[in-house]
Amino acid sequence: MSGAGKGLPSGATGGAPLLEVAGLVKRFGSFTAVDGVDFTLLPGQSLGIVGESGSGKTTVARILAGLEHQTAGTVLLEGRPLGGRSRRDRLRQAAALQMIFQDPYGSFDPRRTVAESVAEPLRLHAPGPAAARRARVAELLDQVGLNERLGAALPRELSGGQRQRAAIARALAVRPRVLILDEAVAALDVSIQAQILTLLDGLRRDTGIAYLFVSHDLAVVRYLTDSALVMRGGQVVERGETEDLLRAPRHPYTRLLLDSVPGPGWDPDRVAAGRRALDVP
Amino acid sequence: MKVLEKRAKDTTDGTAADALDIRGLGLSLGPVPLLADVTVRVARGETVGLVGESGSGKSLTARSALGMLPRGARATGRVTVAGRDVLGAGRAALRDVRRHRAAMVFQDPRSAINPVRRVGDHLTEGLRARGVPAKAARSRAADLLAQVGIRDPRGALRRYPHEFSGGMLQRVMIAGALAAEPDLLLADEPTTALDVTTQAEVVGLLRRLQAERGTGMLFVTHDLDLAAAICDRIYVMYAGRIVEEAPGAALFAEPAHPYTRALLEASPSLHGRAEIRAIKGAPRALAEAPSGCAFRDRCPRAVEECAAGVPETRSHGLSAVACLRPGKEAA
Repeated sequence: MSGAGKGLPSGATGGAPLLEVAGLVKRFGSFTAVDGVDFTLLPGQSLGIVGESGSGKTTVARILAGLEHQTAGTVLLEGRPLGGRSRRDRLRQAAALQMIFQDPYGSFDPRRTVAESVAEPLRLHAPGPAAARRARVAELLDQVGLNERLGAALPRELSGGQRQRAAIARALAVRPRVLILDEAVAALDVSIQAQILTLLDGLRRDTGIAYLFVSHDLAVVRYLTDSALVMRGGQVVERGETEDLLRAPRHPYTRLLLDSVPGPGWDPDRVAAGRRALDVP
Repeated sequence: MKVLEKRAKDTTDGTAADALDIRGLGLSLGPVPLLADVTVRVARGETVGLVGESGSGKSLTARSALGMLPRGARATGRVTVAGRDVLGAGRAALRDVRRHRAAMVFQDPRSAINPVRRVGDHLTEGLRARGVPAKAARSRAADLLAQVGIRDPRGALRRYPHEFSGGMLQRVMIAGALAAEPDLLLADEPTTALDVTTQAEVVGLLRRLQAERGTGMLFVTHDLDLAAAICDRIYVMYAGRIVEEAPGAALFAEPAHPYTRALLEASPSLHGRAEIRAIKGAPRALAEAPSGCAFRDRCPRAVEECAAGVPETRSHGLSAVACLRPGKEAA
């Protein structure tokens, strides 16, 4: 019963920006997936990126995580340009920024136990005695609500929600300052989704970590973010405080997204009409 | 016109039965129980929601209407579609149900259509099997595509599934499902794989076509908000059983079962309250459920009696609920 996700004490966000993104462009051949995106992410802030398929939201996340390289524009992570290829640069970037995917199954070694996978980034980033590492792994698993038995399990023995907890534990291992979450709760059952959302909310409250939360789900974005960008066709069409954006959307596309969410008195035909109106430029 | 003729015929041969009538359906695979005592009714022209999380048995229940049971499963109880028995049906009778009485729209249209055959072949296949001449079948298929809002329907018949977007392909699947003018439309998470704005279009289309034709629709979804927005009645499933049945709006205003209430409180909302309350534990399948009430190990209102036996369904407000302590009064 914490209240919604924006529970950070005021003043906890601030300081030099963690991420400064300016004029970001990504082209795949002749297709422009991201078309001039700018934003900054402050320490402790939770920023949502909202959009549908093809909006470019996932491409932005993948560029920030170093999985794609931008065609143009700059990304500064803690003031330094992202994209260094040396081992030192990559370690530095990974120590500051980690990513969580929709289904983390593909990012776990299927033959290693969950605890071993969580220990891996520690081995890379903080070489030290194995005993200390084991203690930190136990602490991390506990932080995300996984017990010792589940730590000893293989990824396939875990449910979707437990696997997402394991992914969060592994991402937190290096104490990053930013977590990029790409549709991180989209594949989960409602009751499990609520557990992960409250976990993420609590983690931010406790550690002051910043989130870049990419999602198509406005209600989830409302719960977890302070401010948000709405993307369409690679561009940001509206930005603002999440609560304001949802209460008084200014761009017709944001309004359409809101109207599309089923609720009491929902009229799918009105939504369809609004969509057709937008599709004709 | 065709719809009217068909309805008239139905009343004359005395089959004004419900589009779907599932009574006391139990399903087990060897020693593993999958469904227990599931009762679901869909009247003609009615939209009924079947809501639940993974493992609740909602898809199994919907599939039973087509006689699609897991291989080797043993079924008890009764399933009828437009008055025709499905569970005891022989091959010919089952084929009749699947061809003329009930049709299904699946979650992912791409995995439900043959990717190397033209859309026209997919749509005319059922009609041709019923003996409609090729030319008439093509023109009927084009009509159907026009009805579901596909531009240039004649041209679309010659195209392949990969040439359509997800939302457009789902329209094609709906056209295919309606080709047989079924009494019952089964929609299994038909919009889950689609973008939110596309979801509204597809749902609007389903509702409109269903209302025009008087088809009964069973709408299977994990999305309570969506179900409440479009369904006349909703069944909530948990661990292979129906735990609550209520009119769509009432389920939201006055959820009777603690599980329904917990699901609502766990869903982030766009309006009003911003907080959510997580349910401890994970959803169960019937085989893993505790004795008595399957929800009791996660239920904030559970008491000792909940372990004694599976609660009988009783009425509470506008709901029929399988719970000893329904309602919202503090425990």
